[in-house]
Order: sequence, then structure tokens, then C-alpha cells
Amino acid sequence: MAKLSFPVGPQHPALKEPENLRFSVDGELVVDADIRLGYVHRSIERSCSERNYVQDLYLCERVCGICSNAHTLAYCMAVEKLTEVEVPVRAQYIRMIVHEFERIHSHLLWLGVSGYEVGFESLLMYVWRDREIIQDILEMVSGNRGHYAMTTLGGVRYDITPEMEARIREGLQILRERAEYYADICTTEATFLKRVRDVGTISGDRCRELGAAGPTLRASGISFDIRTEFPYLQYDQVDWQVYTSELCDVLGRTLVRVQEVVEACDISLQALDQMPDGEIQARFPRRVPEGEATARVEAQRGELIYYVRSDGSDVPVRVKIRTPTLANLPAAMEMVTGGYVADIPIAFMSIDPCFSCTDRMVVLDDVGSGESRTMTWPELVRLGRQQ
Amino acid sequence: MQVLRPLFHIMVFPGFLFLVAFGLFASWVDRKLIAKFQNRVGPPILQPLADLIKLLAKEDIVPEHANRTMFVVAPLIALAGVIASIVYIPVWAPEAVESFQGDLIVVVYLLTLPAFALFLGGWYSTNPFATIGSTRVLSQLFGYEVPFFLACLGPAIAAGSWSISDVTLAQFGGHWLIALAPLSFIVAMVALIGKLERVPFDIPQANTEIVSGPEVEYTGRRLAVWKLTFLTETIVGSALIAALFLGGPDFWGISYQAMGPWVGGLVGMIVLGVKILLIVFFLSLAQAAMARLRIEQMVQWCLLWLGIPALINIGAIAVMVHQLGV
Amino acid sequence: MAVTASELVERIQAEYDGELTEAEATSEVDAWVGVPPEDVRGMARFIIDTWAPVYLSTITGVDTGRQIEVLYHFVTGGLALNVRAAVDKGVDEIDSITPLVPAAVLYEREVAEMLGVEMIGHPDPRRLVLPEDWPEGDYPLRRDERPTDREDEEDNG
Repeated sequence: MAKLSFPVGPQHPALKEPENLRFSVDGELVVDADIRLGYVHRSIERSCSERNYVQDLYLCERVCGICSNAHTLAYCMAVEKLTEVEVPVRAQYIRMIVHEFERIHSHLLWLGVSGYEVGFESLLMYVWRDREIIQDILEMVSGNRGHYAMTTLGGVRYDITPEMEARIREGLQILRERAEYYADICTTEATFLKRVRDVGTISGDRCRELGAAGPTLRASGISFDIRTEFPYLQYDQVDWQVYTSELCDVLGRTLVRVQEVVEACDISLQALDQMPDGEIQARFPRRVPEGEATARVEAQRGELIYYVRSDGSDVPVRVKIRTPTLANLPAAMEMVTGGYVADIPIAFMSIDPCFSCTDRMVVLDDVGSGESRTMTWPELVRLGRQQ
Repeated sequence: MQVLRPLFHIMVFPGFLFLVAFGLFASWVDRKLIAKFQNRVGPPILQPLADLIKLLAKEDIVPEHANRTMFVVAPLIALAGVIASIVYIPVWAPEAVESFQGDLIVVVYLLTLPAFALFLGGWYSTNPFATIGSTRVLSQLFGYEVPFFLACLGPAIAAGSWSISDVTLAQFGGHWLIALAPLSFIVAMVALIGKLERVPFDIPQANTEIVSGPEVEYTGRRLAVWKLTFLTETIVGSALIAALFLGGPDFWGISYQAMGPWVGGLVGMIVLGVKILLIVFFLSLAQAAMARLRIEQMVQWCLLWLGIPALINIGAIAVMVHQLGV
Repeated sequence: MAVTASELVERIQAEYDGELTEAEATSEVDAWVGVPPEDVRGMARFIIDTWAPVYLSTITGVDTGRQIEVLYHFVTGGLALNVRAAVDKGVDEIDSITPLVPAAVLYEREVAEMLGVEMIGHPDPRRLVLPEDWPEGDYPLRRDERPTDREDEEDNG
């Protein structure tokens, strides 16, 4: 059989977001893989340098719907570094708790989707049902199920009251048990194992070379976590450990993520115990002194880095965002190449790709006509008025 | 009237209309069961019918580069094959509408028609997803068809006949052949999952991988015909297994003749319906509890774990029939 | 952690034999060094030889007016090592470090597309995010006036 060009995306059931992957396929084997980004570019980096620091906070929140808190957190940490504002300790604990909540909800989301990718729909249904617990908690704490808008410059917006605390503890206990149950399912269900074991393998050294981040890296046996590498917030005050796996395959990535859910529950519970009373927000100046700073956080998908440069005004010169998905893409392409067509979705999804984070520039691709073209703003406005 | 009789059997009962009606109901049971297993509410009873009507009303597109004839004819051949085979399967009494020595083989082959038609329709739609899906349909066919045929052979040898009606009749009075051919029964059930392309063997359709494979270019009423094909095949396949292993409409020897032709026929149908729904329950359970395999895993697993047990069971039956005269 | 950012900077100053345009530790963990654009590959080689395994977080491009600054954010042993190379506008090219650091492959493509800095020796210099027919010479993140800017103004209100 001749080689077949096999497109995945921009619209494909395996991808939650529009992105185009092109595979050359020989029978059931993938011989080559290529990626084309840019379907959801929204010009965020450029827009950031045309808005003031407070407006940018809202913009960064909207880089991604799943890891929105990690984005504001990294952005605030970078700007706080420039202004040398000291964030109150209670606010740091609350930030950490929400950061871990987000990890729980994102990992559970991923676990469900990965079940769906291999046709294990029941896993999706059960995991997403349990994910509602953390969603309810997040809604209770912040008022929102997504885009929590908890982190703000100099602290957090809302406090965690004692009544909330009780309900959080209760919810986290259940989640912890459920996560352990899912870890059990993932290592014992025969058909699921057949689809994840030795699929999408990549060695730790190769991962490091290609700059992979987060659970992808940790599942290949490399203990690299920004939370221990550059301890931020109060991560050095709680007792937890980085979970790694030597399996180097999709099963390893699954186990690392499930284990991180358990770990995140423990971190949050400890943080609730340790949290001192006090202010939750520091005064923040309008203007930011001249300078530049980077901030890294361990988002659920891996290392998220922000670079902010200020010229002393209230508008940044440059905000650069590097999302974990971009770092993991070269590794993902390697995982897929040489494997089976059937393994493309699960191997590719195993890095937990998020393309809305990765694309950030305005471009409209007219896919239907077979040719891509760029629309200028007036054209876009006209089109919008027509429809 | 003599001309109308076969037409009635194929188009109304136990053919097209009956199969579609019962198929829609079984599909609802299936979806409701899976929903319950997955902690969901599930659809209302008329949902499958509504889905079907919706599909019939939708725009029908034939791809520009597709071979029009093959593309259009394939789903019809598939549906025709399935519907024709019900004529040879007992539905309300041990006798089917038609029967002759060797109808078992005809039915088994009629039931492979959907797979071949699916391959042709997918292949000639020239879509890359459909192309990959089509080759998977054929590869999978090799995986389940041989064990399925071997499994059907067991009861035939035990009953000493190649006619489904005879095999069913031999079981009347509660001598169900599942007792003699338990391995063959299990093999046939698993192979049926492959035939119906359901999880864990929904490899040719594989939504998240190849976007429903060969069916990807089908829309509107042609897609509806495909859906109907698998809907009716569920019933026909289950009825075949029930007829071969579970005594068809038999309920431990209740004499349907004593009840008269109408009541007896109705009770027989209900008994068979319950058996079919039990098989559907098994299909739903498998769907809820498992993940999709890869094609090469499937073929390997099927030939090893379905083919060999089916052979062993046939051997055992042959020995029993010849030596012990059971 | 034994090594601090200032010790890291001192070690670079002592052992690196090329020219350094800046060398400073801005905090316990942040070190900034600058090199002329032609020495970028030499610096990258020095870093990976000295501190392997080194992790490249990303590459940032910043338009500072007359120059495009290319910043390489490395991580090594709990320290952030940022390397700065300023490319003059008009020159618009810099050596690619992808042959030494494979992780740079997508980051360099992004910088090349968004700021128009050609990566010399990049193994795969195709477009990554912009569409194929995006006009040549129009770089979205440059702060100069862009050809499309004037059109944009018209219908904005």
C-alpha cells in the first residue's frame, strides 16, 4: 500500500482544539509527523504590550481555560519580582491551594479524555463525575468554575473562610480515595493496559534533550519539577514529594498524573492546616519600575514561564509566555512517529496538549477553501457584520 | 397471494419492519444500560427513532471523487444481506419461515455481507480515514469470522444438521446446546462483538482515531441505512446465537402448539426477545467495561483465544456424538 | 543548594573565554549574562559542556527599538541562567543553537517568525504559526510601523 497522508485536525474528535497534525502513514504505521500551529492565535503577547499591568492580568487569565490560574500566577510572580512587592503569607497559601486545585481538576480532565481516546468511555464518565467535586469547591472558593480570577497583583481576591475549609477537606478526602481507585483501575484493566503500555515511549535523556516538561518528563524517570527546582509560594513548607515513573510510556504518564492528584490533595490539606491568619492582598503600585524578570511555575502540564520587561511606565514592553505544550510538542512528535495509527490520539494526548495556550496571534485560516489566507481587521469586521 | 407471502416475510415480518422496530427498542435498551453502567441518565425510549428520522431528513452528499455506484449501493447490499438472513432463523416457533439443509452456512455468509459492503463503501469514498478504516474492516473480519464460523459449527455437528431450524428443533424441551458447547457459545458471543464493531472491537470505526472510519463520508439517509444495518444485525446475530445455543423460542419445553398458532407464536416471540435482550445486555456490559484494542492485537487475540477454544469444543462434540451418541 | 546565581556568574566570568557584554546576578537564583550575537553558539556550547544536563526553558525575542534582543532562558540545577544576545536591526540574523540544543527547535522558529531574526543553520526553518501566505517582512511582534497597521486603523471605531 502506498504511503497515505493522514490529517488529524483542525477538526478531529481526538483533539479538543483546532490544530493540524499531518502524518504519513504506511498501512497502520506512522512514518512521519508534522505539526502546524496557529489556528487559535489571539495576539495575546502583542496585546499585552498595549495594555496596562492590571488589564494584562485579565488577558493572561484567558490564555487558557484549563490552566488559567497558572497563567495569572506566573504573570503576577514576574510583576511582583519587578516591583518587589511582598505577598502576604496567607495569600501565598491560598494561591498554592488554588494552584493545586487546578492541578487536580486538570489531571482528572485529562484522565477522562485519555480513557475516551482509547474507547474506554466509562472511565471518562466516572472521572468527570468525580471532577465535579473539585469544580464545586473551586466555584465555592472563587465564584467561578473556570477562569477563577483568584490571583491578583499583590495577593488573592478572596479569602478561604472556615466554613469553606470544612467542605474543602471533605471533598479532598473523597477525591483522594477516588484517585487511588483510578490508579488501581489503570493498572489492572486489561484492555486499557494493552492500549497504554509501551505506547508512545520516549527515553528520559531524549525528553530532556527535546526540552519536554512536566508529567511527560517525570514519566520518563526524570525528577524535574519547578516546585522543587525553584521553590515558589510555600512549597518548601509542606511535606510532599515529586512522583516519577520509569515506564517512559503512556501508562507512566497516566500514573504520574493520578499520583499527582493524590499529592495535590495532600498539599492542599497541609496548606489548610498551616495557613496563618492575616492580610490576603498587598498594596500594589500602578507603575512598575524599569527592569525585566522571569517567573516559572509548575503548571499541570509542565513548566510555564513568563518573561516581563518594564520600561517604568504602567504598560509592559514585552510579555513573553511559553506554555508547557510548546515545550512538549517535539517529544510528542517523536512518541507518535514509528507507532501505530491507532496510537496517535492516545500518544499525542499523553502530553496533555493545549493549543489555545500555545497559539497567541490573530490569524484566520480559511480551511474550507483549501487555501489559507489572512484576513485584515476591516475584512473581519465586515464579515462579522454580514453574518 | 403466493407472490406476496415471501415479500411480506422479507419486508414486514419477521423482516424489515419487525427488525427495525425491535432493533430500535434493543438499541434503546443498549444505550440505557450503558448509561446506567456509566452513572448517567440515558436517553428516552423514542430517542433511537428520533435519531433515525433526523438522519433521514438530513442532506445526502456523495463525495466528488468517490465511485458513485459503489458508494450508493454498498449500504443497501449490507442491509439486504442482514434482512434476508432472518428468513432462515426461527422467530416464533422451531421452524423458520424458510429452511433447507445448509441454510446455516447461507446465514453465516449473509451476515458477512455488511463487512464487505462496508469495506467497499469506505474504500470507494476515497477518504484517508475511510481507507484506513476499510482495511481495518477486512483485517478484523479475518479475526472474528473464522472463530464465529467454527463456533456455529459446534451445534450443527451436535444436532447433526446444517439447517438452523433443525438445530433449534433438536433443542426443544430444554436440551439447550449451550450445555454441550459452552466454549463455542462464548466464542460466538465475542465474535458477535467483532461483527457488530462494538467496543472493544470497534476498531474500524474508532471515533477518536479515524473518525468512524468507512462511514465518515456517509451522510443523511445513506448513513441511516448503515445505522439500520448494524441495528438489525444486532438482532439477527443475537437471534442466530439464540437459535443455535439457547433453543431459540424454546422455554423448557412449553408446547406452543397447545396454545394455538397466535398465542403460541406470540409467547415464543417474547421468549426469543428476552434472550436477544440478554445478549444485548452482554454487549452493553462489554462496551462499558473495556477499552478499544488495536487491530493487530485484536486479530492475534481472536485467532488464539477464540479460534482454539472453538476448535476444542468442536472436537469434544464430535467425540461425544460419535462415541457416546448423545 | 550549594551554588548561588552569583557564583554561577563568577564561574562564567572566570572560565568562559569569549567576550561578555554583561554578567550579573539579579537574585539568589537569577543570573543574566550577555554575549555578542556571533558568540551565541559558543556560549551555548560552554553552558552545556559545563553544567549538563541543562534545560532550555524558552527563547524570547524583544524589540528594543534599534535592536532585537534574543534571550535564552536556561535552567541548571535550580538556577535560572539567562543569556542575552542583541541583534542589530538590519542585520537580522543569529546562529541557531538547535544543532547543540534540540529543545530550541520550535522556540527559534517562533522568534524567527514573530520578530524576523533569521536563524542561521536551523534544520527546519519553515513557518510554524503564521499562515503560508503571510506577507514576507511583516513581523507581528516588531514594534516598528507595520504595513498592515494603517488598514487596521480605518474600521476600528
